[in-house]
Amino acid sequence: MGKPRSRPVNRRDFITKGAAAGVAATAMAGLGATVPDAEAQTPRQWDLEADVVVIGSGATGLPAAIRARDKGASVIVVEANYDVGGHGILSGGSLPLGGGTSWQKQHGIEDSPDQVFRDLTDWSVVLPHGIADYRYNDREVQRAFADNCAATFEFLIANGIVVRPPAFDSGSVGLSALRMSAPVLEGVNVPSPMSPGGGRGAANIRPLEASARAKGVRFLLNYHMDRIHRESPTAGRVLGLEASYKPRFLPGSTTRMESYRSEGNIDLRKPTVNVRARRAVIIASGGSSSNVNFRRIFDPRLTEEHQVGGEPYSFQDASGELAAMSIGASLWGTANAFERRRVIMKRNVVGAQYTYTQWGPNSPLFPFTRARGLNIGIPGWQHVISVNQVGKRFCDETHGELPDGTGYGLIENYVPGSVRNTKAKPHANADGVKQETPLYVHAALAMNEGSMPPDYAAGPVWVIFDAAAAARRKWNVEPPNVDLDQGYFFVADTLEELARQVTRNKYQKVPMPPANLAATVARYNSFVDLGRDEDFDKPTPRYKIDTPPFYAAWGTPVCHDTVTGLRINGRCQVLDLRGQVIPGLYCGGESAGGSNQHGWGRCSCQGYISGGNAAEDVATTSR
Amino acid sequence: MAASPPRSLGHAVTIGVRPAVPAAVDAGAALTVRLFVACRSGCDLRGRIVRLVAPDGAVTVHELTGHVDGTTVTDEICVHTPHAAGVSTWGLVFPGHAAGRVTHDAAAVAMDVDVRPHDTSVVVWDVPSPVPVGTPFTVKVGVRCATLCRLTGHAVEVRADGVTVGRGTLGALPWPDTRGLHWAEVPVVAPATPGLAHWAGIFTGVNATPDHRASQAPFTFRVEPPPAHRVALTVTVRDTGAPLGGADVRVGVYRAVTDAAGQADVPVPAGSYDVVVETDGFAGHLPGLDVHGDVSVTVAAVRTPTEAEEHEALERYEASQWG
Ligand SMILES: Cc1cc2nc3c(=O)[nH]c(=O)nc-3n(C[C@H](O)[C@H](O)[C@H](O)COP(=O)(O)OP(=O)(O)OC[C@H]3O[C@@H](n4cnc5c(N)ncnc54)[C@H](O)[C@@H]3O)c2cc1C
Ligand SMILES: [Zn+2]
Ligand SMILES: [Zn+2]
Repeated sequence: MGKPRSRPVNRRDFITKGAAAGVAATAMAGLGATVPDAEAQTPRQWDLEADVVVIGSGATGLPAAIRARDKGASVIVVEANYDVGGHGILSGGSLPLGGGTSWQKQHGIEDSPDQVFRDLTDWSVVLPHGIADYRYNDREVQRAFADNCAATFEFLIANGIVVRPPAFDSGSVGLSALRMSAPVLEGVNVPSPMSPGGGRGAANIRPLEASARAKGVRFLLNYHMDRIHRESPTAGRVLGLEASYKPRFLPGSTTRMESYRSEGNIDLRKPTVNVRARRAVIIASGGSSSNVNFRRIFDPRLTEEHQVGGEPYSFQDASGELAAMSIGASLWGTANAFERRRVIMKRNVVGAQYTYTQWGPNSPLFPFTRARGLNIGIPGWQHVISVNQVGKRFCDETHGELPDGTGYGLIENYVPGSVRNTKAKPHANADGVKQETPLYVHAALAMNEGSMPPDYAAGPVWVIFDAAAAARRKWNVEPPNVDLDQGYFFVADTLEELARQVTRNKYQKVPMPPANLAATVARYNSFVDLGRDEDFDKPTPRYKIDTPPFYAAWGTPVCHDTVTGLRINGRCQVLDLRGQVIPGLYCGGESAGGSNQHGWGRCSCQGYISGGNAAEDVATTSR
Repeated sequence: MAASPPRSLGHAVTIGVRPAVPAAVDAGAALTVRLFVACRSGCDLRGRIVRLVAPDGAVTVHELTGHVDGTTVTDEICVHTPHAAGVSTWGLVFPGHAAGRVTHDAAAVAMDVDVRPHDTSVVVWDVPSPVPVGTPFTVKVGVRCATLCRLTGHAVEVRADGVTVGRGTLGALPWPDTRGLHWAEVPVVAPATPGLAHWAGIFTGVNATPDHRASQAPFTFRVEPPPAHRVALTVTVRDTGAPLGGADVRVGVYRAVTDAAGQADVPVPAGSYDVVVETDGFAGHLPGLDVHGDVSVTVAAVRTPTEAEEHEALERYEASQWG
């Protein structure tokens, strides 16, 4: 023990025997992966070591770290960002967990693991656009979620999270019972170093973080995991990982960004470190939405112009998936990636690069985000048109979102598995946001005359309006609401001038023909006279776009969740392409496949499951 | 732009302009350049001169004053491209010299520059719609030069099927919040027959100096028969019977806003109309109202979500529970 093992493998060995890894490695050329070649050896020297090493400190990583620590393991969390939390700290933080939690009991809600399991595998729940909500979930993974759901909730409460009843239920945690509570913590709604995006998710992250630090979990911040060491490329145990130092600096600053808390931080600045995991490595790196090539495995339309909800706080760059696939891991449950609102979303916030969280000037990230975004709200779409990169309309602008999923109360007389459910398509989310047959996003992503080989990308979407709309809606079209400097918002005297300007945006790869935009608007204005939209059936277009100046606001759909990833079993162990466990490797959260659920529920639960099993890994798996 | 070396025993030189003049430039543009003479042997030619022949034949003489990396240059000079669009030719002459130990050949070069007219674009706004047949009204027509010329005093027109139906003169001040959109109020008269009129605001560019491209902006408006009848509308809140003031009402394409008593008079031609009432938080609908003479109708509006409520639902959705 103590000394890392290394077994030289020659290239022939690798190619002939390592078929699985070979396939994976070839498949990943160009994905930004560090594909270890056959000669790669495990390090001669480990810089750090712990029983369990967790990659990522978000909604999955923190519960995993605490659970492993509770089970007696020493734990190091390797986190690429300057602070903990990932998407989890930016989120709304609601906790979709049920199966008979104390909170449910207290509110007289009946629920059980069996009911959760049945709900989350129900074939019969169909969304308005005909896509099934739970049908493609992996059953073993859902069984494990169901069985650990209530325990995870109690565990989160025991580690400091305080909840209150939710205002409403929401998608993808099953329809039989209310399974939702919301965390509370003073001050999280206002952006600050404690809550960088002003999201209530900080009410989950900060208590969990405090608990983890108090229990002795150590944090290696500013280090990006680049590869996972395995005894040999396709066989043997996982031994640890390699990470590189990636400090973050605000634009124009030379002072490193620092975490809100520091107790338990490992202060290292070496360019590369090797961290030994005596028992297991847990991948909790949050998915692949920030990796354009990787996310395009599941939907080739998601080219680079689509920005990511959660950036620029943290980047879910598929590094966990890539490192695992480099040592043989399989993807799983990819059908879940289709037609879900959170994979690709229309936004009511326009005119800035990052329009998911409304990054106000209070946020410590504001120097990166530069603008808060202009929220035009749902009624706003009646006052604007959306055009593609060549200045043409593509859809009724008032058209809604891809459906978000279903939750408690969304189907009347719900009976799990009943064929009647298929006819009772839910038409609104429980919070009243309409679920419609989705056209807008698909039309926005469609190829157009400006789409060029090899990707034929749709390019940006621009939301066009005039001075009269801004006045009517009282839109403040000045910074910090809009980003004029970097080309996400433009003002011009005429439509032709506006079209010439948008090429300043880096994702606008082709010129927008000025005559196109002028003709598009003139035609739309004639629809206002006619009282009907002859091209896209927008319900009674009411307002001409004719009063100068004119505005173009960035309105390109945004990527958000990852809902497919590595193949795991019920213990959250990662499986390879032959269905074999990769000993010592675990995964949960958005990097894991087999679950369509959005958000904290399955992430925290899989953190809980993986942390517990990883801590005991030596006992359960032979070396 | 290559020098043309004559047959002689002097050093050959290359002459030209720095930075290189782009193949196409705007009419009337000011370009700041240096003229240069480069001897292959790197001789310092300071104190000697270069002649610049403008497209109109005017010759200016420029002294070579700087010597950098084997090339001798003039001070920065400002040249103006012609006001007329088209290909213009500039000449550059280095007279050469035979005096001194070293002699330099003369050189001359002709440079063709494509001079483009300025791009312009037109906006037409404040167009009423519908307009009763044959009635006079005004529209605003604005013109913007891409290079921000002040177009005050230039003419704009409104044309219907190529025929000029209105004229105006661009004013002194740009429209508020624009960088250089000069505009005019143009009086016109609606066509004599009902229908959707397709007209255009036109900037011909004639008489503009330097040359400007013509441009136009198509616009539409609805022409309807004269409104012979009056629809006297009363809008109430269905649940309470109270009058609903400030509500938008549309009788077909005719619009009005109710007063504090919930009333609005809408003059319309004879016909059958859908009456729609809309205001934040209320909506009402009266389909198929037949109008053959003056009529009075009451529309009971029902409660709908206010924009604030919708907005709040959305904010809640995004920022609280499930963002
Ligand atoms: C703006 C926003 C709002 C949301 N609102 C809600 C909500 O209201 N309710 C809800 O349930 N869900 C919500 N979600 C979704 C929820 O936050 C995510 O599903 C959840 O955080 C995912 O957990 P995770 O652990 O998989 O990833 P994350 O929480 O993103 O954590 C991943 C961490 O891994 C780190 N990392 C990545 N790669 C590496 C590497 N190579 N080396 C080291 N570290 C690495 C990242 O920096 C990050 O800190 C929201 C998400 C966003 C972005
Ligand atoms: Zn010479
Ligand atoms: Zn001009």
